[in-house]
Amino acid sequence: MEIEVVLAVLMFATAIGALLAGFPVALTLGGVALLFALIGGVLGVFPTGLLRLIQLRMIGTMENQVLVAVPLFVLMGVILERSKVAEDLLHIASRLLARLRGGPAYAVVIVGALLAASTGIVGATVITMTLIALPTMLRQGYDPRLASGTIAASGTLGQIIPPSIVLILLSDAISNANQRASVAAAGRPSAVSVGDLFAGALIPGLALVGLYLAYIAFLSVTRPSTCPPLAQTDAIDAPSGKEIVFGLGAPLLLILAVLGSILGGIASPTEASAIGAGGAALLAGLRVSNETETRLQPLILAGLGSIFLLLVLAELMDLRIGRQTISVADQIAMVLAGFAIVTFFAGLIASALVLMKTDRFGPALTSAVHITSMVFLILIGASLFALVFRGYDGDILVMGLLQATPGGLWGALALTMLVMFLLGFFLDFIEIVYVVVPLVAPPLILLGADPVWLAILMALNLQTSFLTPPFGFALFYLRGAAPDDLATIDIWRGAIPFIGLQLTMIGLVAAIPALATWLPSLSSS
Amino acid sequence: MADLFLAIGTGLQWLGILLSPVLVLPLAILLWPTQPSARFSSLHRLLDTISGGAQRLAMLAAVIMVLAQLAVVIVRHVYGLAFSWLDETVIYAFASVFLLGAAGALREDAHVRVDILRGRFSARRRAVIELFGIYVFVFPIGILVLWAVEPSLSRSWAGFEGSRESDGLPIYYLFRSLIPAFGILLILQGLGNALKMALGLRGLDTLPTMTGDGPAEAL
Repeated sequence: MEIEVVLAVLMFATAIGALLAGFPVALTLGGVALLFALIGGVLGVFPTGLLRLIQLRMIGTMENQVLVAVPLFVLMGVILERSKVAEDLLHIASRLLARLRGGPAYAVVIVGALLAASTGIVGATVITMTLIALPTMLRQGYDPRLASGTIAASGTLGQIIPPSIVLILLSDAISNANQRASVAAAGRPSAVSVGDLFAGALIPGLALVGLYLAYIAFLSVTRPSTCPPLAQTDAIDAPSGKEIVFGLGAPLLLILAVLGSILGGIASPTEASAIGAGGAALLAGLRVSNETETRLQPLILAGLGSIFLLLVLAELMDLRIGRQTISVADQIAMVLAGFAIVTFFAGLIASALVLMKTDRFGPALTSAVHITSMVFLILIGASLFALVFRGYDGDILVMGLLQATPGGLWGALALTMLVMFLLGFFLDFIEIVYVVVPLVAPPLILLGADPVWLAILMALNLQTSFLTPPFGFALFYLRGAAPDDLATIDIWRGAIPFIGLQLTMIGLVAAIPALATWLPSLSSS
Repeated sequence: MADLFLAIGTGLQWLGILLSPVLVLPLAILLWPTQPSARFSSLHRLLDTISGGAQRLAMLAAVIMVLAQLAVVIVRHVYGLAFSWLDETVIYAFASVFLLGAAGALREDAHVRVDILRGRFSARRRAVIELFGIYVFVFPIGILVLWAVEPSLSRSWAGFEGSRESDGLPIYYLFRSLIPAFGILLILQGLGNALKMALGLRGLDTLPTMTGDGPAEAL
């Protein structure tokens, strides 16, 4: 066997071994790659000059307009979480559904999907829901397995329901892979955009929510003892109208607006994410100003109102500057819009002040900076890893392996899915996206897989992996936040039905690619 | 002018090489036959302060990123205008967030780890792994980054390389300098963490405990 092949395989094995030692993943991936590049350099089988390319890779990431959406969505999620807007959402939804058999479980699934859609942060979503919903459900007499399974599964919805952060990263990786495949096949270069992936994930994501809800409904009929409704004698404080409008309606509207503007092609994901972050800041300011003495609340409300004024003005009038003739009405509208913009930014500043006063601004910002740094350090480390692996022709090795797999596309796909599922036990979505996808996606696309379909299958697959005992991330988070008297084995057994639902969904998407490809094809045509 | 910046670049390179023996300090503390002085903890606090300062800049950059991107959206969708300098402000702020924030995240242990075995290790074992990782992974990556940018960066500074757009920001050379800044911050924070571990292993500092629930903010 050639020494390059040996080194490439050894590098992969070393990386996995080193990762288990528990040093930060991003640095381990990059460091192991660098080590093997140097070894290869000494042996004369690796052109170390290739390593200078890391600078170009980094600049490529730094200038990537699409990836700007990642920190903005992170910020949106962190703000909603820190200001307890997310918590309120769950409280109000479960109080609304308290009398219904299975009500709190429905609330968890729906809020999980919404929260997830706003943040995509599995850990935070699972922990929040475990702390708030789990005790209530257990007190109400729920089967602990159903309660914990619902929470863990709903928490992972964040990865598949747009605008998920990992889907943005996946679209970046899949798009590069698709270009590589197109070049190799000498033709049909087609871009895969974030919008395509969001659109592709929408039907499978919503179908999953539907499956979860249907499963709970099924249980509430066949085994009513697992999810008893709140006893009639227990008083519940029904949420007030104000709570429903601001606590439930406003975040819902924000999330739908962000998602709708992307899918409708009105705004790019980056633009929508900025609106999401700004809107979240205003909602957070409003929420927090309720609990402290402040005169800034009207200004925040005005800021929210100005968004609607801007939307109406931009819809009704022609506000474009730089035209030959501008009618008086348009001129007035333009000035009005100017006032609305000033009000909007004033509202934002007021929100920031309120959040600062209650000591939430700094922590939220720190947390957003940490998460962003974490994501992009992985991106840098993984691209170093990919660079060296490719320097050893590791990509050709993987391609040969996949093409030699019996069963053509389906065989290669099944093998890839299995490997990714297992990797999902100890690697995060982002690492897998940037280490594995660049290697396996080009050959699979060359074998005839549609890039969007492939990406959605991968996302569903990883989501399932994170839910699978004993190593699933979501289960770890749940265990960490759950009361001690909830047995770990119950958490594991609770996840099993949901894994079944996940596998059903993967099977459906695999069998009917249109589930993933139909919506994107509409928006591109 | 070009010569000046090339000379400065070479000077900085030599400065780096001259200072690099400091990186051995944590190992020296670990292996020194007599009890080392506790004064070294003030060095690691200084290094923490540096990454803390960079993190504050990253937080500021995050705020600028949001406001500038909102401005981009509003002027485009309301007035139909676009400005390269505004787009570039977003991009520069975005890159600053993670390149300046990475070291602070390293200090506060915000980078994802694989926790399957880690929870079962003793505090000492974790500290040894930490030291090993810093020397074998962090320092080499930091040095690689500096080595990779070195030739082209001096030229970029020499010409005060600006934007490719006529209405862009004239500070492309500063944008590119974020990469070596990232490398230097990473090395410094690696040194700081290594010092902490070495002092901890010699009983002069507390060894960090596991947070328990792992990367609480992982995606």
